Amino acid sequence: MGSVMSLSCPKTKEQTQEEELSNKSCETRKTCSSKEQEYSRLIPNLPDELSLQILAMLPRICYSNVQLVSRRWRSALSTPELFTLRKELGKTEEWLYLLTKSQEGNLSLHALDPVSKRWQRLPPMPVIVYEKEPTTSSMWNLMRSLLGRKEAQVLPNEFLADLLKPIVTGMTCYNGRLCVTQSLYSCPFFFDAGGKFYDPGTSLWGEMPSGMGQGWPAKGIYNTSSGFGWHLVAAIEQ
Amino acid sequence: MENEKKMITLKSSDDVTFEVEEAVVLESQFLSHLVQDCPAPEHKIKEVTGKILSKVVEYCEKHVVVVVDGGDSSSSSGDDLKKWDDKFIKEMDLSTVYDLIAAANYLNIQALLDLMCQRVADVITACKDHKEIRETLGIVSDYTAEEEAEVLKENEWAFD
Repeated sequence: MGSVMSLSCPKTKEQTQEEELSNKSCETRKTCSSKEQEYSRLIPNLPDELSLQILAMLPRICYSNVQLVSRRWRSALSTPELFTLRKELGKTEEWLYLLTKSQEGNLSLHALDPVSKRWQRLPPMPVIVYEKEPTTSSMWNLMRSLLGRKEAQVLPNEFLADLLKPIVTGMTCYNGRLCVTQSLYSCPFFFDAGGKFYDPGTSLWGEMPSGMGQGWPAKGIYNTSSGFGWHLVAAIEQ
Repeated sequence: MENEKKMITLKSSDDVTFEVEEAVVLESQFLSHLVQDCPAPEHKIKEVTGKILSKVVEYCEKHVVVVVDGGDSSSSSGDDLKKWDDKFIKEMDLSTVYDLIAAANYLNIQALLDLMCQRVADVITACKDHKEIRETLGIVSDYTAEEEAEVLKENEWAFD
């Protein structure tokens, strides 16, 4: 009787949707029969959309294991979608990042996961890229405006390159990544030189988009060219 | 005064039927739209087998009861529900978990979907290394030996 009544029902949106879905799943099943297709998924038995939801639930401390599972898993960990999902699910974590300087003057970054109480060392931050042409001209404009001179003596590039020391001016967190801004410094001048971001999904450093690092935090207070010891502390929400 | 409860029959892909209260069906957004738009006493769910549908019904029945009863003592019933959920997932093998994820996604039962995804996430977290994750989930790595060695090297010094 039930089926008769069902038949008498006008075709609803849901039914149409149901049909569409069942067609879709038939297609999925067909493709599933091919092993290659199955292996190209994040998790063989699930559509990637649902596997991503599972990956978003993983605590970040196990990313070092998880990124070794497959290339697909590694790239999935660094997608912006994953961070958005983590936020939606309330699965972001607060990690503490410390920038330290050794007696030899080497900078290193450390991360603490307060939940597992484990420290992790980050790969070394790439050395600032010193682009002679644009940097020197911009630097020169800056120096000129600061000194209030219209006609300034042109300094040779080599001199500026030697004069300017790359320094870290700030650390903050944005969209699940650690951003480190850098400046070129030569007392009393600073020149914003963009920065790097660290992606915890892949343990890789990348260039910050141009303009993002400009005029960021208070300058000069993190001058890493003198002294040693702890320098910077920043909390991150991942 | 007790209202007469409306019963609805759900039929699985392999024709196993389950008679449930309407309130139970309303846990599923997909089914609640379906019963509202098409008030038939029986609905066939072509995507879900009897084995999986019985789990879905079990979950929804438990969660409906607790929500209705939990007016005064919500905290204790919340704890009980959590215990029940833990027991519910512990008894399941991964292939059942996968089927339940697919069913919960299809029927749009968010809490069940989250619970099952969390179960897989917990299984992954409990693995001691990437090889165990691969074995457990049946994943074939697409890394070349060199690539894998490189990522492994990056990891080694992270925890020295």
